[in-house]
Amino acid sequence: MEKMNGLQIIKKYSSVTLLLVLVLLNAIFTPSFFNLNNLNNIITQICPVILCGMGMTLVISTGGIDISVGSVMALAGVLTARLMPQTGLYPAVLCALLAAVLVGGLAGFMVGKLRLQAMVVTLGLMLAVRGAAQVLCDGRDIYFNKLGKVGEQLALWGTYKIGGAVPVQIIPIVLAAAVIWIIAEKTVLGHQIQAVGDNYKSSALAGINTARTMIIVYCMSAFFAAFAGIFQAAKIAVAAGSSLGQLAELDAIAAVVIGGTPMSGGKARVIGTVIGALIMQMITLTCVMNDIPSQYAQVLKAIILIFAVFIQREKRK
Amino acid sequence: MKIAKKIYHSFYSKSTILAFLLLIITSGIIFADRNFMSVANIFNILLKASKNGGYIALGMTFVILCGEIDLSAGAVLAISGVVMGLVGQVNPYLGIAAGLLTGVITGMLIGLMVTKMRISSWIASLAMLFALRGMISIIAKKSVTVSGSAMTFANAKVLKGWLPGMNSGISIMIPLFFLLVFICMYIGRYTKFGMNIYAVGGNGEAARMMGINTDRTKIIAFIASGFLAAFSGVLLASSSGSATLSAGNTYETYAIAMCAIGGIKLSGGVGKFSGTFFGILIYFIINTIFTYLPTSISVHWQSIVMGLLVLISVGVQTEVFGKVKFKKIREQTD
Amino acid sequence: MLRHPLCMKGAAVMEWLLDIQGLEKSFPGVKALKGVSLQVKEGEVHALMGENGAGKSTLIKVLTGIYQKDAGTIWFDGQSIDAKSPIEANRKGISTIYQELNLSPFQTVYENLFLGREPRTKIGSIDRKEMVAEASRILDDLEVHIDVTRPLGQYSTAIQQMVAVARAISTNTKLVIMDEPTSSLDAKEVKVLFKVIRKLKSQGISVIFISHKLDEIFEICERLTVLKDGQYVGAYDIKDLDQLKLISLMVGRETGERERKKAEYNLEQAKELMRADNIRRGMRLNGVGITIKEGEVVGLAGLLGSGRSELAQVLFGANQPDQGQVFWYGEPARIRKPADAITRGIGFCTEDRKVEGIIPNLSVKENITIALLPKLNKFGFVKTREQDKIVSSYIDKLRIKTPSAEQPIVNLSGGNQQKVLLARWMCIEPKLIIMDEPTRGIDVGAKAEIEQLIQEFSKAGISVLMISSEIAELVRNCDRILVLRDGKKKGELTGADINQDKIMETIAHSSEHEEA
Repeated sequence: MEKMNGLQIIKKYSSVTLLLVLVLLNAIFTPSFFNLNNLNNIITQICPVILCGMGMTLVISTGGIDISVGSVMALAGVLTARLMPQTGLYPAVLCALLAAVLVGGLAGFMVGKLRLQAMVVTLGLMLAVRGAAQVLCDGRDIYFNKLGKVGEQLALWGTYKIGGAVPVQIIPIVLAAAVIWIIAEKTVLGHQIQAVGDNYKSSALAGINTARTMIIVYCMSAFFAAFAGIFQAAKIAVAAGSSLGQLAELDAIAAVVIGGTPMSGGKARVIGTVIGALIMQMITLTCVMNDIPSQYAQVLKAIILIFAVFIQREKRK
Repeated sequence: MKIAKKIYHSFYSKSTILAFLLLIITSGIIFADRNFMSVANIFNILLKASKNGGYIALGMTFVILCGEIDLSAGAVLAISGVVMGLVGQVNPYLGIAAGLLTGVITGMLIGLMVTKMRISSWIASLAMLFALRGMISIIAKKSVTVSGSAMTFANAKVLKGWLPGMNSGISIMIPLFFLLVFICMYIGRYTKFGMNIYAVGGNGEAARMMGINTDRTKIIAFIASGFLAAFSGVLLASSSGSATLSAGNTYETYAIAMCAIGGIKLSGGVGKFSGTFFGILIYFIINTIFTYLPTSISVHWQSIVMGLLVLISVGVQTEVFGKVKFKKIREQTD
Repeated sequence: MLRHPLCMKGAAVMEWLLDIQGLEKSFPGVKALKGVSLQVKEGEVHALMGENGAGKSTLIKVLTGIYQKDAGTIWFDGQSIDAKSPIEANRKGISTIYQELNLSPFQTVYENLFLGREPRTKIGSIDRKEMVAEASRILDDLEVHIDVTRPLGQYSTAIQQMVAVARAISTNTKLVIMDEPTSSLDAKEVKVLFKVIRKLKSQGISVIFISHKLDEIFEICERLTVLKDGQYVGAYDIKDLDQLKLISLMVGRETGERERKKAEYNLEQAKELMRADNIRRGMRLNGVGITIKEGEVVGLAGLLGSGRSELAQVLFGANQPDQGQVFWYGEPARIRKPADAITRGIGFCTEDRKVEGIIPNLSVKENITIALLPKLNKFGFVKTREQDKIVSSYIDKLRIKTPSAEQPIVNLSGGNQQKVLLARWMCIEPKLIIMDEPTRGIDVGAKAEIEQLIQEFSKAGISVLMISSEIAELVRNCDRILVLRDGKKKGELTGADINQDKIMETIAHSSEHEEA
């Protein structure tokens, strides 16, 4: 049918191209770019973004948004840290996950059944959940080294290196990406999610239970955010109710948007989100390695975000 | 059932005021022993409002009424203070102008991105937030000191001896805040720009059909938001004598909450500036109440309460005019 | 500025306020207006008529500047005009009152009246007192007595229309175009509207009245213009026409009728599949009943606004009736949402496939199997092999032209999109397929294929409920035709009664001869 000319090809693979360009530039200009330390840094730092980003990909592909993920991260981290001295690590984690899913369920219910705006609902939750997290930790950061054995256990989730070389965060990253990719591409739910985002009315008329789909999606977003929070807290060995997950939603949204999932809903580009997260991370890394202050990185990220959205808009016209 | 609905609707628009009054009365009673209702406390609340995000909520109202959002307000607050401090070292008046100009420019940029590049205001203002927070640290390594006449002005006290129990007068910030609230209310009700905002937010396509330049209206709204955030930043830096780099952090979130509670519909077209004013007051009253509570109750319950208030007010903001649909003409078929 | 030729001759009177000649407008793939004319006198109430796709809406959009004409002339009030935007048309004196009102719902009535041209006080602020007073005066003049300080959206559509008319009048309009103004009005409100239209007339303001309600046209209009398939059929004086004549002008006869289908088996013996009794829904459905037997092809005939699509939506569960009962195989059935209908084996090809049918950016494969997914579910995963098999079989069977099954459906032509939607419902192994305007916007070849499919369904024992504005199409394909008008059943035709004349006659039949 239609042949793609050069410009269209660039637009389609823009994010991958950008990533490759960044890697290439670094390979050439940055001394000792490809060392293990860097790779490890990338993996540990990108973990929360990818985890939240996975949930966010599905949410955005239904045409919604979830700005409460940062707060959910805090809630999960704090809840785990608070409960685990009494209950042990795994039950505490389970509780945290449950709490997160309840929050997500509430969001999904309000968006899917009551048809309220996603931004407002998740805004309210963002405030309330962050507050809850801070109440639970009494406004004081919870230090793991004061929690004895159980604290060490959790801290291991942040610092363990597989084979002494690869950070443990690689596991949740790969798992999350794989799970969400499979869901989006291979499952009935995934197809229904993308249909609802692409055309709500047609999907409803095709018999899809749109309310239930939304609830599930927001639950998943919160679920992954909870894990992100726990792993992040583990990494720094502190559960800080006030700062854990701060601005995490923004990073996640940026990754999803750069990755190509349309904000109006539709096709979920899971791999795109991973690439988006990598691009953001590469920018930071490039600046760090070349002694450029991180603030420039931030400005650059902003410009790239605008650019990515703009190209996406052109693509969809 | 219909009668119940009617009563409910007529109360709804006044519900913010009702909630506010209820709040005042209840807390007045509960904390009567600690002078909650004292003049000093009232002005304390107002002072906090004027320093910590009241202006941002006002600016946010312009943007939300148009159906958009401005997530960069807090960052604008911070960077205008810094700019003012830096330029102020050359000339204090130039510094103030530069600070305010920063807000105008950022607002205009966001407005252009939204209208001309057709980027959602969430993304555009989010990107601006990123960029500004980054730029703040680029242009200044640590807090910038502010000195000079701006500082004296901001710390001035007026109405000395006029008010019972406030012999040394109240901070000038308070009447200044009221002034701006009234200006915004005036704009909203008595200017063409104000009418246009409501039209654009209510039904953008209709507004365009009636000859309103929707793009220009939105851009001006963003400029207003940026300006007010900058105004706030300049005042804050002046009054405290230094412009901190992390000022205004998360202020925009609370500003949106204040608007939502104040009855500003987040989809646009509905809500009054007076509502925002009450939303602002409600927040800061809750804030103050928490300082009165025994320290065993964490101050952070505040956020929970605010969050729940947002959820409730948006849950209540359901479509009042259900059946009537206002689709775009172009989608109409034969 | 060009002046109308009549003027140049020094003629005493300008004959037409609006004189459109030879108007042409094309869009990619379709010529919407093929040389259309329209002439309206000053102070005249003029009806613009034609079925869906006839070009009425396009004509108005060109006149009011939403579209630009390709060819033809437009003379208005003595000048040649070519409006580039609705605002420009407004300034020239042409106002439009749209079906879906283009006003600001949350602002007050008086604000809506003056939006864009607010009166100012001496100090430059907006003079709200003046606005309220003037708005009350204008509306009272029209005998609409309402509180102008309440939000517009709180009022009924009828009132909102009045406000739109008031706005038009206050902007010195000379021509008011009303697009389906009575579609959401009850009888009382229609009377009020007509009173207002007569007032406009008395002030020398012309009205172009677009409507399908023949009774109203005959009551309020003096002249009318008929369009059909983008072509100008003619302009007539109302007194020279009757309803039957008018319908035949609009709907007309198709040359080269294909042979009518023959019933495959004796439908008298067929089991009752679905029945609906006394369905009422708002003002759209006023006690309609319908019966569909197994293997039957039932048609719903009627003009736009008769309630056909609404009835179909109720049967599919997309809408809930206020009253009435639906039966499935004789048993009362609760069909509350599309999923309920789908599990029973009912499929629904909607009227507007772009908005409610296709899921545009998803592939052909996805679009075909979307309703079948619950059955293609294995532990949550999609049974891709089975899915692929089903998809390719339907692509073959229906001869869907697409480079691959992965192609986003939005890239396909209208005809092929419709086939994909049909495939969607065929693969759920349906007992009944409802089709609302199945051949709209489709090329001749695909049209014939779809009609062939309908025959095959019937042969296979699948019932079809077919809604079409093309009477010839219904005549060709249906075993039984229900005629609806204003939400009521006017008649039911079988056997020899199924022909164009009889159908048109039944539609035109006056209200005294209603059937239950």
